[in-house]
Amino acid sequence: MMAVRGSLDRAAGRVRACRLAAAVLGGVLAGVLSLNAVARADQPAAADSLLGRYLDNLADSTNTHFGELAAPIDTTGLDSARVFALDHPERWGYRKRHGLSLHPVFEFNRVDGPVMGAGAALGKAHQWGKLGGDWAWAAGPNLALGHVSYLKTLRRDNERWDLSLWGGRGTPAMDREYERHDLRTFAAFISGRGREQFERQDGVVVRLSREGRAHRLSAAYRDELESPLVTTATWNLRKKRPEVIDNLAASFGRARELQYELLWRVPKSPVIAQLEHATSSHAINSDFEYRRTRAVLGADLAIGRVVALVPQVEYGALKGELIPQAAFTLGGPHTLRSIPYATVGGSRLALAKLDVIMVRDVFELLHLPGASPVPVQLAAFGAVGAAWGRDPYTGVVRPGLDWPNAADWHKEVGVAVMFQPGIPDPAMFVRLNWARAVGPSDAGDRFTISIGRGLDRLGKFGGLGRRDQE
Amino acid sequence: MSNLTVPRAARPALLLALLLFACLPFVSRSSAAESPAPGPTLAREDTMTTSVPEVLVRAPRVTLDEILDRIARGERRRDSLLVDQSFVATMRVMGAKTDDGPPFLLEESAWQVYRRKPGDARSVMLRRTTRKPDKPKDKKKVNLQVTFGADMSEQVVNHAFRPEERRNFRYRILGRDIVGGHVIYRIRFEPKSLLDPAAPSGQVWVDANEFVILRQEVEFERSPSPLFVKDIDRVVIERVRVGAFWMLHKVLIRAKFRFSMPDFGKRAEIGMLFDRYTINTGLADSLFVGGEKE
Repeated sequence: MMAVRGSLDRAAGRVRACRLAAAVLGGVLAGVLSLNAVARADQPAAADSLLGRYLDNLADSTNTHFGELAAPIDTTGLDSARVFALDHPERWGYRKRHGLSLHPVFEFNRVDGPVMGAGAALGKAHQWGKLGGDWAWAAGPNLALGHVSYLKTLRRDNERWDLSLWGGRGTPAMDREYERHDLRTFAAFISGRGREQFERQDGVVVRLSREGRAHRLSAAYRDELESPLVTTATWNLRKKRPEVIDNLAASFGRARELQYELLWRVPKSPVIAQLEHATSSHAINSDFEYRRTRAVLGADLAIGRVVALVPQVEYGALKGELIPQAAFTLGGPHTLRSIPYATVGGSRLALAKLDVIMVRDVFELLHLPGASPVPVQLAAFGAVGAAWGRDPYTGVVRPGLDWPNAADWHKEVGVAVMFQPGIPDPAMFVRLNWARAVGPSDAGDRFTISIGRGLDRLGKFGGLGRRDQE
Repeated sequence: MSNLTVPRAARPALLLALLLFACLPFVSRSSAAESPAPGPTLAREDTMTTSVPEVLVRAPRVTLDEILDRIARGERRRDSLLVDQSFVATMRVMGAKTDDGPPFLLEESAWQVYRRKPGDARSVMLRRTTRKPDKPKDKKKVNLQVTFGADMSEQVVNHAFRPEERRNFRYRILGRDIVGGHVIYRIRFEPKSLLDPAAPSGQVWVDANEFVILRQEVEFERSPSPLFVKDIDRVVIERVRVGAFWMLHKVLIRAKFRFSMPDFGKRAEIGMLFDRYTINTGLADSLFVGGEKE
């Protein structure tokens, strides 16, 4: 029995050895044949199969990482579903969305008091156009405010054309570089904070803009009756005395104005340039005669992957009639933070500022445990600026033609704690600033909270020529 | 407590003795290292040497700028050769109760898409699967609505390599792989601006034969919306060879939320799979009549 089993084992061993030899031979033969085949076949086929295998290897690790998400689809029944769907387009058909949206309107300022109403928008700008409108009641002057607007966008390759029509009555701030956002309304409503000076505008604005790869050109015409406003609401929720009570009177008259704008990415440099020019003339039946020009240069420079340098330089000139609603404003979170907003102005403006922003979360850089939902960034800044000519806020005339006197320059340094919430604009910062005036200035230390982008003196690509108005 | 006193004359000798005693371990260790250790020893073959002669390469090396130019041209050429296409697109949305928990399907929909230049597009839904609500009274909230435009240039793949975007990114070559007759460049791109956390960085694999992007992995250095999104873990975009063209095959995204979001939970996974391509087959006009057009 043992002998039989031993012979069987030996036989099995021989069989295994034969199989192994056959397998080795077969493998060698197959290898030779395949080599011959490779030699005979088209070279790209072999190369492509190798490339396919290379990509498959990469895809395999991806599929492992993503698991079920990357699983191939079940194609069973898709062909018959397609035939059925093409025959019955209404079966899965979408109801066409007209894009109707409704929104409440609430604003608060000292000239209108609480402004409450509603607005609606219909359509899409890149299809038939977006039609929108707001209506609201201003409780202070007992007046209806509102507007109707239409926006049509055309995109072709790398071009974008925007046509905007706006007509109605509004209460804008007398600062053309003003960035409007809900935080200002909130601050005024809660505690009476807000230093803006307001005017009434009734009329129409037409704007056409063309944006390409590295530039935006826009032209606009506005025909608006501009009128002064008086304060009607001095109350707020905290019953605090408003920061500013009186409202600077705008010059009354019909403003017919042509506006031009060029926003340009300077080639082979990180610099973005903006040139704005507005002209209002009796020749186009305007009550005002002035030319307003503003030029800004800005750049966004990265040092490593942690620190961003944001220098900005600006120069503005108002020639002709010096009306308050066309004057330049110095001070506030977007110019000199050590000077309160709308306290220094003039017919000319020069400003240079530099922000050094550490974009990474401080806690992450310090290797502190736990990811924070509020990544804190730090920044340091310095700025120098001057406004000269007739000051609309004080009536003082600061001497200087194209350049101010040395005594009129304001300088400041400061630090800021910043946070980027990511909404509504990913590049927007919420900043808590501490600024200290440097040099012989009566401005002291100031804490401010502001919202804005890093390049806050420049217009933004991707839309109309108006400054971003959150 | 007892005081140990050493005669002044004996102090140098004692110091020397202490020094020798301190050096003893090092001496003994070095002598131990020289003695052969028991067990097998490593034999070095030092009689066979060879050398490879230096080869002077005179051909100019392709610069990064030239590679980027060729990628832009390659992508443009690919787009220009596409006249029409049809494919099945599957959108898959998944959630997960925890950061690392198993995912669950929220919705999967399959679409037949037809595109034809210059501006025809039609998408037909073939199938939709949605997650059953946990409680019968819960209403289904995730409702994926997808429309496909007529653009076939696949900007999701080549957005960082389009000529107009070149100034916004910084590029560097990470490596070159030789695969069969192909040279695959691995190129890293990073946004020049640090101010926009939504600007992605990543890596692409480019086939130097056609200078077409084969694959892309995208990441975000910071969360684009830190209040809600903890991080976007990984975004992978793959292309697949279909005839003479490299076509979009997969887009896979995984994002983790700060808080448990309705329907999704703590994680969202979005997958877009594109399959069953037909290219330049001369799609009939009738396909573009009726239905949803974009």
